[in-house]
Amino acid sequence: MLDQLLTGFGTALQGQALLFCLIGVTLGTLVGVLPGIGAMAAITMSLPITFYLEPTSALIMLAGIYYGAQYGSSVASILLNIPGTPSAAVICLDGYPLSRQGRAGVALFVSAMASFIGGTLAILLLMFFAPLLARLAQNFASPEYFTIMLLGLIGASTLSVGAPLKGVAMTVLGVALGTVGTDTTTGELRFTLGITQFYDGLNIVAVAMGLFGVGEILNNVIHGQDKSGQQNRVTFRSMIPERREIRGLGFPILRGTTVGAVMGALPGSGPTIASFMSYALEKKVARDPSRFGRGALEGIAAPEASNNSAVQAGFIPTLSLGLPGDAILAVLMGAMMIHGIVPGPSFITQHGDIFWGLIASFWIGNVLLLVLNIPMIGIWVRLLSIPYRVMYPAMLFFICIGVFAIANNAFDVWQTAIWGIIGYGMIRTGFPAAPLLLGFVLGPLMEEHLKRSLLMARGDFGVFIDRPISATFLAITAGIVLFTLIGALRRRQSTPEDAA
Amino acid sequence: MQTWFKTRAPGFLRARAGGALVIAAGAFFVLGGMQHELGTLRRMGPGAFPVALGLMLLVMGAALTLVGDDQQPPANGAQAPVLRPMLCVFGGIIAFAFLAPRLGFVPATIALMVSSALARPENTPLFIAVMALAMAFLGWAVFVVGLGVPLFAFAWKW
Repeated sequence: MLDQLLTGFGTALQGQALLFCLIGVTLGTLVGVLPGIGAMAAITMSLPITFYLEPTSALIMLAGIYYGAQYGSSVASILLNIPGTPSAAVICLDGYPLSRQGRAGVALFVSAMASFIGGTLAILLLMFFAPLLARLAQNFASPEYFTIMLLGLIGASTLSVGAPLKGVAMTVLGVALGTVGTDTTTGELRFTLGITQFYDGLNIVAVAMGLFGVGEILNNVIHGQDKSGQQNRVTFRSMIPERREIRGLGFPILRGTTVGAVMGALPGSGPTIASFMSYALEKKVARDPSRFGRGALEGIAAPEASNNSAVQAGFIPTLSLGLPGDAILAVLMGAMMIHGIVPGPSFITQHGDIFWGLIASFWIGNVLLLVLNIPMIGIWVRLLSIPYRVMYPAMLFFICIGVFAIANNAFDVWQTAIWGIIGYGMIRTGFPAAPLLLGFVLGPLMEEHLKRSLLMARGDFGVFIDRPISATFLAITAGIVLFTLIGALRRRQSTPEDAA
Repeated sequence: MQTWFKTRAPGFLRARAGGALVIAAGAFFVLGGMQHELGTLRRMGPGAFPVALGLMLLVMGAALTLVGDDQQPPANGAQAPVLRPMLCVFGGIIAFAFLAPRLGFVPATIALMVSSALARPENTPLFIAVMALAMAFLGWAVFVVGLGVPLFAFAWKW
């Protein structure tokens, strides 16, 4: 493994790869810092650019945007009390109070350090577990694939922040939308509404850009208050924490990393839920929970370690099973397929050079991010004073040209506009978009594997229980459902008391 | 009864709109799926999977509608005007999609930038003009010349 990793470093340190790693993490930090634009939008916008690159550099850059955004996302949470990305929402709770106390610098330093530690520890796990899981997955047949996708989708929709039933409904809708287009077994056209462009199915980038890009922009333009004109300055000297403050942070960071790695590796659940869970965990184990919400450094360190660990661990199921860790990784997987690389159990053996090059680039990228986020933090802080009314027309332009360039097709741009309106409606009514997208990506695979499993078992659903691995996945899924139901019932019972 | 329509009905309807839309989506997939062969469990036809999903959506939509929505939508700026920004942004994207293949990249980009910038009343005409022209030029240099996106700067193809 060590020499494979060294070869990987050889790939990742070559001029072009290194350059695109730097571009990726810088772009990631940028969109992470700016509220209202996230890694999803940045990745889809830069997709057309990566068509012109060789696949390794393209992947290195896109992945860099994804994990780079996690570093930047806490800056706005700490300074402005607005999360740069959803996964940094929890950082507001203790980051903003610290900033009000004049200690924004320390908060930013701790956040960058925790991000680095969480991220790099998770890369180690990725290095060991991805090849292991891929080997295990060689024994997977259709029933196993079906049940693990079911597990991922149920996990993603119920463990997310918000009402579980809405999440599940959006997952099912996403899977259903995945059936639009030509049926693979019979060649029949389903739900195309007579539109030729739908024969190959809905365009995933148009759906993603509409729901996440245009939908968010509409929400911000209509309901957002411009918090521009705030001048923030953070000097390097103000960032250095006192020694006794750092000493207490080791275990919170380790706990955060663990929570993040588990949530990230579970297909479907991503960094947002990881950061919320690790914050809750810190509050529970703390000797004095009342410090939280008033500027506790653990309240920043643990969730930051957790969301960075989750994004790196998310690559484990994505690369070894071909099951995306979350909606952004689903788009990233789509990008790999455009380059003719199919992630799955044979990816690591067939494309070992790409896999290890990518891993090496994660190490390099995290070091670059540490430099970008500690000595150069002042630049990002100043960027926050750009008003939103200047940025959103430019963002819309990048969305339009990006969607257009994928197939040189204006129809996809029309589609994006429609999905934008739908996405806005979903934000306002509290229906989450990420499960929909994940369902949409996994849907066609699920249908395929369900059909094959039942054909294999002559129509007997018992096949999912008779096979031990598949039965295990089903049992975990049932456990998650049960856990959610109990939680929902308990909340419903406790509401009257809370009101009284 | 009249006061109910005035004060409670909007909230009542808003709490149930999401569920109703989920029911509509479910009905679409059930009815659309029925037009294809359902097949048997052993050999599922092209209609079976969508119909099953549609039925699940119907059940969940019914549950969401009956229970209603106890979660309030994001409260910030609830009274903000919706129609103008919505039309400006939507119209801008549609204008880009319509104009790019017909009049070319530059007019399409200018239309998109002007229309979408008008969504916020604080954007001044001078600012909008400068931004639209700058983006048209930079975008043309980067995407059309640099990356080879097959669009002409100007065209005439109605």
